[in-house]
Amino acid sequence: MAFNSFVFAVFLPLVIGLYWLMRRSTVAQNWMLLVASYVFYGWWDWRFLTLLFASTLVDHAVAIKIHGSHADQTPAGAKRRRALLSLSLITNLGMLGFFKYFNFFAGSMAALLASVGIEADPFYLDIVLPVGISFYSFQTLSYTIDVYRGEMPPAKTFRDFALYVAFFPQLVAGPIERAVALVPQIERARRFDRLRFTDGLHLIFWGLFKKIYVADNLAPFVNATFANSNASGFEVLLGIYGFAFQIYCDFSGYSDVARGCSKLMGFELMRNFAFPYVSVNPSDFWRRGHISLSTWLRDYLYVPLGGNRHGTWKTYRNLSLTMLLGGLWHGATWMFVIWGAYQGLLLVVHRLATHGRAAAASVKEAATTPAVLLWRVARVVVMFQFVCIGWLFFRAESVSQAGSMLARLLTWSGSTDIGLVMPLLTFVGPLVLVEALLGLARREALYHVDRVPGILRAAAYGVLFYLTAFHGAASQSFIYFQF
Amino acid sequence: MTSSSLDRSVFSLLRDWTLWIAAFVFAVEASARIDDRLNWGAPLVGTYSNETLVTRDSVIIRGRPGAQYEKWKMNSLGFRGPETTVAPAPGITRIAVLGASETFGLHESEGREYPARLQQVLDSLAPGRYEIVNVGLPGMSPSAMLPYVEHAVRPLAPSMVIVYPSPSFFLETVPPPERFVLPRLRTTPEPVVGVPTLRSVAKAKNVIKRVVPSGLQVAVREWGLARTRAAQPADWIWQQVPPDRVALFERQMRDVVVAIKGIGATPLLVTHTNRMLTRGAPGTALDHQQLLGVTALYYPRASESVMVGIDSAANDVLRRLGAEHEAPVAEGMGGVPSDSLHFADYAHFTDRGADTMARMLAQRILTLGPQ
Repeated sequence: MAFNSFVFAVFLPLVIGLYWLMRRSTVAQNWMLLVASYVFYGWWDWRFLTLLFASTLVDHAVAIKIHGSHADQTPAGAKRRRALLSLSLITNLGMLGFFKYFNFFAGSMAALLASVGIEADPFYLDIVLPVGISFYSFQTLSYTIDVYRGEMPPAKTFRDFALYVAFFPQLVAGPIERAVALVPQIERARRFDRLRFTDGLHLIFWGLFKKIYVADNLAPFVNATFANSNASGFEVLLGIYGFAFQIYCDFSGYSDVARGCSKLMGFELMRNFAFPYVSVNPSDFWRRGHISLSTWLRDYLYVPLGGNRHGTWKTYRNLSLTMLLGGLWHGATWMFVIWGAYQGLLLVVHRLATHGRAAAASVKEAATTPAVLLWRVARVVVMFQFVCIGWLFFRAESVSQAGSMLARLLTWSGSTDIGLVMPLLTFVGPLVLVEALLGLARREALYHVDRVPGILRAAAYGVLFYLTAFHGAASQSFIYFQF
Repeated sequence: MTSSSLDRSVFSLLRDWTLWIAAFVFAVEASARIDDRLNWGAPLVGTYSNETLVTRDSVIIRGRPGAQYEKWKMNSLGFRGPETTVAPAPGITRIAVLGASETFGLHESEGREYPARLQQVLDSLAPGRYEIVNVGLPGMSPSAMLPYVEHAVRPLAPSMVIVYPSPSFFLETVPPPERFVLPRLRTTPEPVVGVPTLRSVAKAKNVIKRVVPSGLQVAVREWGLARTRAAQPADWIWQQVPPDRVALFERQMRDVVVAIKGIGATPLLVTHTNRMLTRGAPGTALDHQQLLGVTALYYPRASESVMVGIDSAANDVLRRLGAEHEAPVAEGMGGVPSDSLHFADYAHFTDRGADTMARMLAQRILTLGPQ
């Protein structure tokens, strides 16, 4: 069931209505949400519910056992906890590896053998990738690791933990919510809050605008550019810019709807995007874009690898490795690996250039003199170009396609038809206007921008509603479902 | 909080929400109008609907010269298609094509309706010999055709008039009048200014049709139809094509044929076709059920067999009239494949369907030779 489907438009009000009717019993609410979440997920393919359930069962049992053994501080107790954690890791990563990476590694191995003259006939699995497996696997992993580290107790009941894993707003495409943030919200009673409810409605509306009006309308334009091997350098540039906004609106739109739905029920999910295209450097970009993944990778991969605690070169190694695996998380193709490596390279080069002062550099942006402002704008523009080069690798289907497009872009071959900018302006223009307003006002929702009179804000919602309802493209699947 | 301050806060809340809702609705409507203006050159104020395409004089409903609604444009004579002169150019055989929305064009791309395609096909087969004028109008029933031939088609002095009548008019609950009665048009004599019709509402209906699953739409329609029928006696629903309606069709079409001959043109009668001819064929059940579900809304008295049967009965009449009046007949029925590639709905063509129809007619016209 996708957020931009008619079925969901019926499902959500029904669930919200039932949910607040049951407001006297948190237990009943949680049971109802759990059933609703399984219905939501099973709508794609009910068979994959067994995977979801198995993962939930294993991690629940493992977390309880680990927590129970925390009192035992002997080497045997530690060994037992490590074994239990390994069981969780093997289960989750095993499922992920089997469904997502088996064919990739089999094909890559065959190609490698072929390159040294050994012909191999690889065995491929005829399987479908379960929707959202990358998201919920990471989510459950974070839970067992946090319990293992003693950072949180296990969920009080299986029901509550199962709801944490399957919570329908963020089940299939995030945000990858940490158990330490969501489980307590599940366990305690939620009160109806009018402001939170209104914020939720806004986020759903804004998310759908981004998805239906911007992303889905840009999709044909982007697809045509990437399919056209004769596209000029200018067309390639516009195609990549188009994809930059398509993927941003597609994914951040989903996150907004997810957060909005959660707010309607009194839950708070983490903010997943904070204007990533106004980043001034690579580390700033990863603080603003896909925040739930970047912080997950930081806390469960980069830091355990040693982070920046073991010298310069190991820091660079850890950064590169983290981003490489982050790229692979997105999909089982070499293009995602290259994209991850490119992101790692950007981070390393930036760190080299700033002598490790990367984190501090982007924070002191408070000064607003014209020179500082201009410098900041220049850095944003330059960083956006670097991000877009990354998107070229992300979107291209092969290295040769990416290389060919990059060559045409750099040599600026072919014609420059300025009229091609129109679709980009038409679909991205309203988004940029609103986001610029939100950014300047430091607000997350248009109706919170107090400096604009209420009547104008209502009119702006009217225009955005018109564009979404009457100029929204035909419903397309969310890009991040494939991850 | 005192009761008076509570009243004030409730009042200000009500006032604010009223203003916000008004601003929201205004913005949606203004967006719709600017959108129409940018896309179709529509006026920002005043009525803008398909009714603006037609006007009426003291006798008939005719196309409004120079009118445009979305993709539909009328020429300066009030006909859909390119500009032409009242009198035909010397040496060119002018053929008028008379019919309802199937002829005027509904779902086809601009310039792909079958009369326009017929012109292109004839130009390729017999360059410079024929001129096609699409004199069809949406909603033109056989009873409306009679005065229309006299007053709108006669001045064009066509050599031939192709007639593609829609028999389904005769399944409406209220039968067509024996003689044409001018209906009241919302947009005559000039578009009404100031009537608060929201264009966004019309657009919203289209969006709802697109978004709501077709199965649900069919179910809702069937429910509504069942309610309508339940309020009527059992014999209200026709189980067979009503002979009195067929007889009325015959009388009116006879008059049309005589009128066409009376203006000195040859009538070419075209039998009606639809997407239901493959009824019962494997894989068509759902498609046909949905089609009939939609069509039944307009003709609640007609059972499924009557809806399908009216075309056959009317086509028999056309063939008989053709024989009686020595008017050639072209077989539309069976001439266009009965599937969703050729029909966008029950009876209206897609681009491909219009093309097939045009090619069939072109062959028939060339077979008949110069008129």
